[in-house]
Amino acid sequence: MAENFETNSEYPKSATPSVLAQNAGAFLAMAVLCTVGGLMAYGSTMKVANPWVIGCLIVGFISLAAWFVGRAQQARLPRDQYAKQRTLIGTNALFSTVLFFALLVGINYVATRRHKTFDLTNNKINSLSEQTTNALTTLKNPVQLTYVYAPTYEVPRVSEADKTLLDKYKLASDNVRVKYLNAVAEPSTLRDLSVVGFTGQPMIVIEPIEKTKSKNIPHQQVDTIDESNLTTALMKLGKQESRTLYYLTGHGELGFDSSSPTTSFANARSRFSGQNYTIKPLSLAKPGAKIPSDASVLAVLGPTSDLTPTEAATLQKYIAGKGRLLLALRPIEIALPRWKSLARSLGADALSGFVIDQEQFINQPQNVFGQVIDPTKHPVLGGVGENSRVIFPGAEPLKVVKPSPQGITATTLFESSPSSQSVPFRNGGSSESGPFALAIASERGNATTPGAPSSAMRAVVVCNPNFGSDVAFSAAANANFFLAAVNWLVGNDLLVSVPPKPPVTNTIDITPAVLRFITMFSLFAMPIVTLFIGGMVWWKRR
Amino acid sequence: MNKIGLIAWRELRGYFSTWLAYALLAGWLLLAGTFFYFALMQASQPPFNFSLQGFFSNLLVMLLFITPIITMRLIVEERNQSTLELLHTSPISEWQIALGKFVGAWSFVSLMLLLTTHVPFFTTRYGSFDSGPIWGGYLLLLCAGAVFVAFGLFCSTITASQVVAGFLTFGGLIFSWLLAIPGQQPDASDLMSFLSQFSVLMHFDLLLKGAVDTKDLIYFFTVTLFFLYLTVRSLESRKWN
Repeated sequence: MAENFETNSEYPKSATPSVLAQNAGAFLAMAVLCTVGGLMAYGSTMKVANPWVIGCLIVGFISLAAWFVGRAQQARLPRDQYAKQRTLIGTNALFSTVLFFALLVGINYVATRRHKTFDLTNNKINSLSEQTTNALTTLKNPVQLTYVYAPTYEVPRVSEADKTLLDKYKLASDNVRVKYLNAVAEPSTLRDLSVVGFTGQPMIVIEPIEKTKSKNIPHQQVDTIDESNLTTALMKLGKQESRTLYYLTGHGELGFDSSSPTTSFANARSRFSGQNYTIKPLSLAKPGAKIPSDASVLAVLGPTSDLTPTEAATLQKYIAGKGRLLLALRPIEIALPRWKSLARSLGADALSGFVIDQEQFINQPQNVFGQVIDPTKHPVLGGVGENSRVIFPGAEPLKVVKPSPQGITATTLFESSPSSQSVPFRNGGSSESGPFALAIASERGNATTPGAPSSAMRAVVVCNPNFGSDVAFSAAANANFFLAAVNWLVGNDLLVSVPPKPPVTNTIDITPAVLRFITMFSLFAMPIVTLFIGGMVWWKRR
Repeated sequence: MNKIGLIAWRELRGYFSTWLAYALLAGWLLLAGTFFYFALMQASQPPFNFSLQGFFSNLLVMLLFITPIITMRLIVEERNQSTLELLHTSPISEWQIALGKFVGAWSFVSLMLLLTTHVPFFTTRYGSFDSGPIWGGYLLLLCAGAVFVAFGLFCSTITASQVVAGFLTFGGLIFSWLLAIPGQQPDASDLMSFLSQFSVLMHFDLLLKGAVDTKDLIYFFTVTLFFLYLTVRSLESRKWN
C-alpha cells in the first residue's frame, strides 16, 4: 500500500486526519440527536418559535456542517486503489436494486388493476353473484358509491363486512369508485349529497360521477347494505324508466293499500317502490274500462268473487296480447269459474280444496313450502336462489294443464312434496295426493332463454296471495320470489332479484370421547413423539 | 437445479441433525394443537359455528416468531464455520446458493405445515365443512412462509451474528405487520394506503376466506423474489473486497 502512495501523485504523502475528520461520526450523531430533540420540543408546544427548537436547529446545522467538512477531509486521506471500483460497483448495485424494486412495484400495480379471484368455497360466498357482475358490465359511466357512516363509541369505524362488499364492487368494475364519508366530521359534504333520512346507520349513496352530464338522474340511496340492494340501486341509475304495477280491485282481492295487519302489503310496496315501481289500483267494473297502456304488470291478489263476463273478456284480451299478469288465487269454497278459466288459458289448472302437508309443518299442515332445486330451470327461480324456500300460507292446489294451450309454455316453479294432499272443503269430497304445483310461470312466444327477446305474454299463477303480504313477505325467500316474479313479468331480467347468498354454517359434531382423543393426539401425542425423535437424534450424536 | 437441490437437501438435513429443529417442531405442534382445541371449544358455544380462520391466523403469527429462528443460521453459520468461502470458490453461483438455502428453509416450514394436516382431517371427518377456507389457509401459510424465509435469509447475509440476524428478521416482519394498520383506516391518505399495500397483513384476508386472488399471489411471489435478489447482491458484495 505504501508503494502505491509514493508512485501515485493523486494521494498526499502525509495523511494525518484532522479533528473534524476523526470525529465526523460523532458530529453526525449530534445532528441526529438535535433533530430528535427539536422534534420533541416542537411536539411539546406545537410552536416553531420555541427557544429549544431554535437551539436544536442551530446546533444541529452546525453539527451537520462539521460532519460534511469532516467527511470531505476524510475523502482526501489515503485510500486503497480499489476504493473507486468498490464505489462504482456499489452504486451500480444500488441502482439496479432500485430499478428492480420499481419493476416489481409496477408488476404489483398492474396486478392490482387486472386480477382474477378464484373462489374455492362451495357457495361462492366471496364472490359477487353472476347477476351483479352482469349488471356491473352494463355500467357505461363511472359511478361513485359514498359510504356514509356516523362513528359511535360502540362502532367507531366502517364495518368490515361493508368495506369488504364495497371492495368487491370496486374490484369488479373500473367504473365503480368508493368513497367513505364520516357524517360527523364532514356534515357539509353530507348536506351536498342531499341524503334523505340519515339516521346514523350506515348507508350508501350512489351517483354518477359526471353530474354535469347527468343532472336529471337522481342519486340512489341504499339503506340496507347488502349485495341485492346495492346491485338493484346501481341498475336503477342506468334504467330510469318508471314502471307501473296495477293491482285489480272489485272482487275481494287483497290490495297494496290494505291497512289490515293480516293482509297488509306495506313491505312489498316499499321494496317495489325502491325498484322504481309506481303502484296503483285498477278497477274494470265500469263499462268500457280497459287495462291502462302504461301497465307494466297487472296483479290479481286472491279474488273471492268471480269476474263479470266483460271483465273476463278484457282480461282474456289482455293475455292474448302482450299482457303481463300475476294471478294469485286462493283456496276458497266459492266457485270462481271465470277465474279458473283464465288460469286454464295460462296453462294452470286450479283444483278445488286446499293443500296440506303433515310432514313439512307438523303443527300447521296448511302452510306448505316449495323449494328451489334447480335455479337454472327458470329465471324466476334463479332470482330466488338455489335451495331457497318459499312459504305459502294456505295453498290452492294447481296443476299444469296437459296438453298446454296452444302457444303456451307453462313451467312449474314450486311444487309441494309427494306427501302432500288436497283436502276438500266439505266432507264427502274427494282428496288427491300430491305433489301439486304451487306456482306456475307461463309465457306465449319465445322460450325463456337468456338473451332472447322478451316473450309476447308472460304470467305467473300462484296458489295463494298471502305469500307476498306482510305476514309472510319477510319469511324464507318469499320477498325474493315476489320481486323476481314481477321483474320477470315486466322483462326486467337484470332486476330479477339478486338473491342473498345462503349463509355459511360449518359445524362439527364430535362426541366427548372423540374430543378427548383429538385433544390427546394434537396436544400431547404429536409433540411428545417429535421430542422423543429429537432426543434419539441427540443421544446418537452426542 | 441439481446444485440447488443439493444445497437445499443439505440444509434440510442440517436442521434435523440437531435437537433444535425437533424442539421447534414440538413447540409448533403443541401450539397448533392448542389453537385447534380452542376452535373446537368455541364450536360448542352459541352460535355453534365452527371456523378455522382463527386457527390459521394464529399459525401465521406463530410463523412470524418462528421463521427468524429457522433462518438466522442460514448464512451466518457458514460464515462462522468459514465454509462460505468454500461455497464462493466452488462452481456455484450466488443465485444457486441463495435459492438452495431458501428452498431448504422453506421446505422445513412446509414440513411444519404438513404436520398440522391432522386438523383438517379431523374437521372434515367429523364436521360439515367448506374446504375452500382450508385450502386458502394453507396456501396463505405457504406463501407467507416463503416471504418470511426470503427476508430472514437476506437478514442472515448482512450480519455475522445469528442473534442480530434473528432480531433483524423479527423486527422487519413486525414492522411489515404494523405497516398495514394506518392504511386500514377508512380515512387514510393515499400515501398511507399505498404504503400499507407492502404489508403481508393486507394480502391474507381473502385467502383465509377461501378466495385465491392473483394479485395476492403475485405480491407474495414478487416480495420473495425481491428479497432473494437482495440476498444475491449481498453475497456478491463479498467479492467487492
